[in-house]
Amino acid sequence: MQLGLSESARFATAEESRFRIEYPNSRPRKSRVIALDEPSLGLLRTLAGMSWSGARFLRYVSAKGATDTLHMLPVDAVLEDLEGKTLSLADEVADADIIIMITTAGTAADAAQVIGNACFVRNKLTTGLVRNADGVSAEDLARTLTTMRPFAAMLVISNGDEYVGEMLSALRV
Amino acid sequence: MLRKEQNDLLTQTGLGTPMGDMFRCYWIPALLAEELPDNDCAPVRVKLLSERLLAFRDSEGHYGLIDEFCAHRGVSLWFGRNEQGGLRCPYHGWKYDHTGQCTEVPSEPKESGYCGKIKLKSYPLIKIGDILWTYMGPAEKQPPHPEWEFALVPSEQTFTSKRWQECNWLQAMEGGIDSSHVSWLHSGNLNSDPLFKGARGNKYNMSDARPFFEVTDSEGGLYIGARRNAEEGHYYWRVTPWVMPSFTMVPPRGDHPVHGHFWIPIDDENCWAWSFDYHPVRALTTEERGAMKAGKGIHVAYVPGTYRPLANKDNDYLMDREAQRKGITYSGVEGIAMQDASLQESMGPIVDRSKENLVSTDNGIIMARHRLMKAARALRDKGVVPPGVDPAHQRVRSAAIVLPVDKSYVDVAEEALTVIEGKAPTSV
Repeated sequence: MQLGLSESARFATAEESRFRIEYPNSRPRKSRVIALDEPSLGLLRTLAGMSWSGARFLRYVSAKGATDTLHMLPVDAVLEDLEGKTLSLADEVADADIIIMITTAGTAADAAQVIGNACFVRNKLTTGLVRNADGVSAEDLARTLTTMRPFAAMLVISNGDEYVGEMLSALRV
Repeated sequence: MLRKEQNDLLTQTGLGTPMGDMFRCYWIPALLAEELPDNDCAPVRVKLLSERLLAFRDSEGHYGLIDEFCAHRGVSLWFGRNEQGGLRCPYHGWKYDHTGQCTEVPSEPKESGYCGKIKLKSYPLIKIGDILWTYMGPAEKQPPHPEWEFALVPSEQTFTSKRWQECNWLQAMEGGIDSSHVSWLHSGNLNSDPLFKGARGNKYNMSDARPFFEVTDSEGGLYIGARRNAEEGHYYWRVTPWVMPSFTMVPPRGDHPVHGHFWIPIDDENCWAWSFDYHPVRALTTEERGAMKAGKGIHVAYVPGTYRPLANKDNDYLMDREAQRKGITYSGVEGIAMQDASLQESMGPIVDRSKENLVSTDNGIIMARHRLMKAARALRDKGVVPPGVDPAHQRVRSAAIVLPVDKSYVDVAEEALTVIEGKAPTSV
């Protein structure tokens, strides 16, 4: 450490960086990665085969009937894991720190509304990832985005699937 | 979060590194034209991409960017005499032209042709707008000249500055695509800075601190849209284009000039933050230009005679805890540029990204890193020219726009995010 310099000058050096405390500054996050459509299932299986710290890979099956009080606002759905086990969207959302929806450009993505609502009532942010491809028309992409937009705090349009794994890794899924 | 090898790949830009080779595919800003104001003026030391160079302007007005050191005994040519069409080393009189070719070795007979065998490494240096640009890659792969709009408009419509930032280029650049920090770090400036205040869009910024984001690929890089609530049935969008490797534009505010940046590596622990302000259809006013020179907006006041910010790490960035307490500035540091730079430099020269905890709103940063790594590997493994080299990729604009809730910035990209000569920026 060089004396006589300001604190900022002394402590912003590479030498001082060596004294940063080594410890895990976050706990593993519980993540749910949900495929909204059939074309995204293959990617979901590929991702599930990789090593993650606390992720569960699920597919959306159908909306559950809404309660009387929330008649117009379905906030629960049937999900399935990759072994075919049925799960409740409400339970999964309640347990998760990160919810990521994966859909394919050109598909209806209506499930986003149900998942988005389920997250909204539990104050959870959602990330929507739209897989785009060269052959998909601008109109088809726009249709999917329009459906997703109100329900994803972060909406990412990705050309190619490789970004998805990169994003999950960056988010410590 | 990045693994160490990913962080190394992105942050190292010396000769022969993947990211260094990628930077060497582009025309990059090297100096402000004002640094070489006249023929035969004093030469200027330039360090770029970890290479020590010297820039000079010869008697005929040719710009040269050559190896800093004389081929004879390794003397810095910064001490050289810039005279009669070349730069002469004061030690033994060896002389070089603007291409680095040695033209005189006084101790050797002229007829021997010895000087013809001596040539310093050199790079082209061209003036476009207020900037001297260089291309540091293989001569046979030199791309077309840059076509950034801010550099092509008439001089009365544009202003460019640069400042030394004491950290790696990537952590500086990532601040430029991180829209979510504006509502916090710069919140004190939106209604006070002369180059920001008064825009209708500011109220949306201030009333909605949790924007929604939409990130999409562009041909040259990315568009990062931030969506905030506006009047009933409408959203306010601010769209930041990022063009590879390190160009960003800040979305405009009202009829204020539009601004943006380049972050260019000096070496792996320092970079130049280039900042420009321009208006596509009108001259900058005297007041605007005065404010920019005074260090307002995204510019800084300097330590006299240098391009080092007056507020820097040696004086703790002139931290003002009283201003922080009162909310005059959110962090206690004055000025948008140094609010960013102070925090980015505090991370250390090269931040260890294996320790970070990104959240979903950081997807712009995650995707930019992904695009950079992918392009660097494609160049290294297959020789693929990276995005952003093509001048067509450079003809982008930022935008600020209010749209009905069923529309997105993607729907208006063609008109709002592309340079259309004579058309005002899309701004509220």
